[in-house]
Amino acid sequence: MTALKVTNLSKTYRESAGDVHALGPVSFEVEAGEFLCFLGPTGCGKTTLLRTIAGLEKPDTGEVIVQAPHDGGEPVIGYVFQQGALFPWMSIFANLEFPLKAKKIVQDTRRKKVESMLDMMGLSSFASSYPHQLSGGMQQRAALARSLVMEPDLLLMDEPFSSLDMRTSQELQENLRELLKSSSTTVLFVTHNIEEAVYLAGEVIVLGHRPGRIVRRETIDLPDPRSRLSDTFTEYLVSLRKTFESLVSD
Amino acid sequence: MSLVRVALGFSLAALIGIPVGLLMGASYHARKFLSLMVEMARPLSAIALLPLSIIIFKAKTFSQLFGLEYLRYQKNLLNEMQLGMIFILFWGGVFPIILGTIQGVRSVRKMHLEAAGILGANRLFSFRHVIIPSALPDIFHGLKLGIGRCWMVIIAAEMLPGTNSGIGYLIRYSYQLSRYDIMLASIVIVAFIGALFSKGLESLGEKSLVLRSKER
Repeated sequence: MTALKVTNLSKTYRESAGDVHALGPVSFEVEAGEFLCFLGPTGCGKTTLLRTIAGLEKPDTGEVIVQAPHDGGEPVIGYVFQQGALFPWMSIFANLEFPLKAKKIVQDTRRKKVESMLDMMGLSSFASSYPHQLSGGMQQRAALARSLVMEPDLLLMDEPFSSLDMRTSQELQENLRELLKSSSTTVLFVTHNIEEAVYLAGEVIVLGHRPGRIVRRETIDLPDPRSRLSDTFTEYLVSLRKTFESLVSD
Repeated sequence: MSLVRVALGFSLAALIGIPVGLLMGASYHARKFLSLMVEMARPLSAIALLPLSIIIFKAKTFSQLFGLEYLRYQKNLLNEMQLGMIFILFWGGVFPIILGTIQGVRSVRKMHLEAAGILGANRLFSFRHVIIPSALPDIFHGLKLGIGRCWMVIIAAEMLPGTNSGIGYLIRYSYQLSRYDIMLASIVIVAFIGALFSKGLESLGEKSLVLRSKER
């Protein structure tokens, strides 16, 4: 089943210094439950693409169709920002509770859902802490938890780990894989980090420089659990790097 | 007596200033519509309006407003609450509060609003749980400036003829009696209470400020 269908999407920002053609046109489809990585250099319109899919930007042309879930309701879309999107005036618990409260879910259910999510993410001991008291890694973990607690059909992630150091970032990548194993959520993950893409993705789409266009689409066929040291992992890495380099040198 | 007057005038200013500020901060049309009025009214010194407000309110007091005129010849707090004076206190305090609140609403981070929207919050929910909390430090700042202005206005207003109570009155009266010791003591008290107001509101606003600034 197709979870997301994007056709002829393009976007130009009109600014006083002149128009910036940021994206497209791009077209692609994603199967339900797929983990798709968008890989591209800075300024290739990755974020614009994600924001347009989320409905935060209006496209100039084209359309985005997010498949409704089985129960026929509105599709739930989650979005994890690069950093700093937690509400600083709310505790971690209250942050996670926010989307459930907005959906008018009763307090008992809310409490249970938040608690089990905190537990799953290893955040239980930070429930009453405020975001600024947490490390960057823990903050992103909480931001991810806040998106997952809504049980999204489609999860959009905009370089969520790029501001973290390598070790923390890898740890979160591992967590993310674990978490998604048992869920049917479709994920679009934007990054400029090739290794991250190869580690996480079922499929990678490489976007070319401004305006962002699809340059290459590649299935990452690696066994689970993925080892960053295996030969095939390295082959993917090198192959994608070659595409990447040719883009930057253009 | 001055304290009660300020409390009344300031509460009124906060009660009206904050909602007006929220409305003007959140709605483009409300801002367009009201900002000209606010900008015209704001530079008008509250003291300049005192005679006018006495004409309008005819030195009426709160006891008359509530139909408690029979208390007129008794010592009564409400007897001393001239409407005109409360009005100019309101006038002095309301503009910093409106401007602070607008500033607060306008400085909400776009990302927080977008995040709230994606997390399923409608406009009202975002307003209540995102805009108001992140505007709080600026609202408190406005309140702090507002109460300072009220305090300045009341002292001046109480010095004008027609008053026979309040610390401003005391300063003028002691001057007339050449009791400069009482006059100076009163001035010190005025300064002290002014600082107390401002510090009190500051410490109230502190928590919200800490949470917001830490994150930046």
